[in-house]
Amino acid sequence: MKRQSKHPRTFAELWDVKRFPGRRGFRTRISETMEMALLADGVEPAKLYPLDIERGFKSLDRIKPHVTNWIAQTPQTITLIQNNEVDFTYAYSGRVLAARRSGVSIDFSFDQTINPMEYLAVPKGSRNKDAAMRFLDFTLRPDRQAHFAETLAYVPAKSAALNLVSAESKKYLPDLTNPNNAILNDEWWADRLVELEKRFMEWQLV
Amino acid sequence: MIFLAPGLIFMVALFLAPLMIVFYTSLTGDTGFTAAHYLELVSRPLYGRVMTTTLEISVVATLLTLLIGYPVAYHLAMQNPRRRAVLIVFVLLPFWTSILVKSFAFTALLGTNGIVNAFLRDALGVGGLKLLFNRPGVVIGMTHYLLPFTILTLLTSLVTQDPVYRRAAEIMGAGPWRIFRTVTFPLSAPGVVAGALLCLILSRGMFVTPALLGGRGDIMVSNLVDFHVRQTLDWGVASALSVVLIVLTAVFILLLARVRGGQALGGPI
Repeated sequence: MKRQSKHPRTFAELWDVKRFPGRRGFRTRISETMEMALLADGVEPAKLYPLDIERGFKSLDRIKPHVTNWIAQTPQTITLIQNNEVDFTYAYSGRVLAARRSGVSIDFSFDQTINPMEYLAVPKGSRNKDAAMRFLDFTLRPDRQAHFAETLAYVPAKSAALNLVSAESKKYLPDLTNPNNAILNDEWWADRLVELEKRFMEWQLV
Repeated sequence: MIFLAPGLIFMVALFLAPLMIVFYTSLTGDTGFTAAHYLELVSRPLYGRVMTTTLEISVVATLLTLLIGYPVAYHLAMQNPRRRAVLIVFVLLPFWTSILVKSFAFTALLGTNGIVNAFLRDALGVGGLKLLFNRPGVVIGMTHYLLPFTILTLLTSLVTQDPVYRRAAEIMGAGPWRIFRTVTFPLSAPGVVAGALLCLILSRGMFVTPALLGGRGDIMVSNLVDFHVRQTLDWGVASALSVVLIVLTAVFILLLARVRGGQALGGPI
């Protein structure tokens, strides 16, 4: 199957269906998708929060007719491209790299990215607190962080680890100093997620 | 009575007790007893919409299943027992296959680059049919799942028919079509109704098929329960939805019991 040679590189371009016609696959989760919609609508990445929800939904209204798949299962962000069900998706760099390594014809644009955080937590009152803390120390060692970045293609939590990552692997890490890139603010979402997830689900079904 | 004990203990501990917890969860919130979860089901358009979708898909899949299943069951009923035993294996083969495997197989069959579309394109030159991640996809997957259940139900009803009635009609000069229309089919009506109710009960709780073969507009009540359990962590609403689903299913099961008892349909002949 011949791939399109022209492809969007930023969220504004992903929204530009005239220049980049094609079937789009979006996530069913409102976090990340709301950020996408606002970035596409011209909001500066540094000034994303507090999110302008109404503006975001208006922006989503515009792209909705071109979204052929609402992706609930994360692996489908790759397999739908692979099986020629959609032309463009919002996917995750690590998964795209893994797919490329196994020979799938797929690429990823690092010109504009949304960067959610991963958390490691120790439950309160854990019986193995010391061991858990030692494990956290271990995972935060720059060499472990660099190994993590090399293997999974996600940015290390410690910037010191970045120097240990090979130039080849760095091509698959978003540059967090690039002002085009946004960092997801989980604190903002914490007490709004449930309500907005429901509203987003309703919006998708209507 | 003593022989019932193991089954009874099993059902009470692993089915009834959790079910009571679901029921309890659906009626409690942060501040004690509340009807808020049920009120949400009524007040937000989301739930009514998904209920309607569930009903639509169930009814369409049930009708299709009966339409496809009846001729198969009829054909099987007309064979001698030995031949029938062999042919039934073909009905049971998909029945023994996991629904998950079947649904994944359908994604390979029905996709844009799937076997069906590749055949249409290469052999007939017809453009791509959209059969996956939409309503047709769900209905195809579900009909396939329901067929064995329905065929077996219909078959039982057709095989147990006393051939004397058919023979009598034949002696009186009725042709094959007339015999079917006036004798065989009416006698099999309770089987048809039982098969239809069974389909409706089974399709009510479908989860895998709409999740794998449907689009966003095809999500059913079970998928909405999943959404609340895993995505929004709103277990109160998830429980309320489950209770509604159980009550609706129970109504159909009661109807089924009446049909099976032969009281509702058939009547005196």
